[in-house]
Amino acid sequence: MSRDFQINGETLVKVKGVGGLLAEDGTAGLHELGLAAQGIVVAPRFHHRDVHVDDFGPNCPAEVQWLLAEVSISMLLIHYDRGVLDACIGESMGGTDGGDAGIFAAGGGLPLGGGWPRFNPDCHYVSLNLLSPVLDYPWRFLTCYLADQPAQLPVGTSKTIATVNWRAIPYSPLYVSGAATGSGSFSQSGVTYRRREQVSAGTILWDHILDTGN
Amino acid sequence: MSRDFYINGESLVQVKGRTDCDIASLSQLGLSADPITVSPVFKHEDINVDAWGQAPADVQWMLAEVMISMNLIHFDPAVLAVCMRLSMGGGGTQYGQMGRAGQRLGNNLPRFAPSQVNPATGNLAGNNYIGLNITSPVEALPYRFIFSYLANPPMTLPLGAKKSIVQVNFRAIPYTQDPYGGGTGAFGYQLWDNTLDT
Repeated sequence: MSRDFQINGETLVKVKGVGGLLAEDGTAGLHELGLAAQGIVVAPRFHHRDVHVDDFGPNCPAEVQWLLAEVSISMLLIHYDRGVLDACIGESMGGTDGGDAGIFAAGGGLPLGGGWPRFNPDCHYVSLNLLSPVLDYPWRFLTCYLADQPAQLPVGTSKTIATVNWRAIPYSPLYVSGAATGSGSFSQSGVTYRRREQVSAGTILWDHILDTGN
Repeated sequence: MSRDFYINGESLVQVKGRTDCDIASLSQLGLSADPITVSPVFKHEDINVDAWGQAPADVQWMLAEVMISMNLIHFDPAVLAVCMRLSMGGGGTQYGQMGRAGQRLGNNLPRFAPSQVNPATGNLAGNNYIGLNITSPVEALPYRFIFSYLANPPMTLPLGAKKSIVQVNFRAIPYTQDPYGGGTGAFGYQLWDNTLDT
């Protein structure tokens, strides 16, 4: 590769998930969320922790530990599907059980993933895709939710530009599809699952392969 | 082509609007007292690099619009009145009536679409953009601005004993129902062409 100006192009945002984002065939649906009024901001946040040794004094670490990362993705949606945004808000609230966003279908304390893999009916994380028609370098954040102040919606006579804030975390499911050797498998909705060790190594926080689907 | 004097000729201004308005068929707006001014406004954005000082290292094309100004002297005030109403959001049926505040001119509808209820919102609206045509009887190079409206200021009308020469300003923009364009954005978008409406 060589240096050049990085121009992503018309960055369409697509989302894939379950609940309100289900496709007509009942599987996880891929939907166009919308276009932004200006550049979408992707901001990884790394977590490191200093390891101090008395011999090195109190201020400078002798070593640093890598303690994973998360990503903040902020966008000002201007040409968007209000129904898809509503579904994303609902999934970030732990699912709406078929209702509209704004209803606490899930009680307080519900884990968004619950140990289930992506696109399982009980995993409410949303997969966020940023297309890249000019640079051909798309982004996919595999397990996201709308966080903190998830959306700001100015409603009035002028067009509503929705300020939307996503958080992507390195979610690692506890259950994966497939039978286990010996005992330990179980079925849910016709799918066989097995338990696995929940480790952070190998967990994908983001990649550059877009989701596919209907 | 070769060099020559550019003489457009008697430039008649014609307009066409949505199918349920009084300029649904191509209508003569009028003749100008002096040349009609066509002024494209290009939008470019500099790319500045600290290593390149204060001059841009490159420039990005960020689309364009066109301003068309004319001083109409032999014109149809009824046609002008319809253009004004469409540019005011297309509300009502009478000259001087406005659309609601925030009314979009295109309303996510195709060109010349009549007023209709949006099933998603219940809002009643059509595509209020005007097709602005300028004939070219001598040069044979007419201009058509596909999506235009009156703006900035739309009209200045002196009223008195002498003939009124009305200053009229049209703005043509690259209206689209889908800015994503299937992944190609505005690539190939026709802001103006040289084929008159019929």
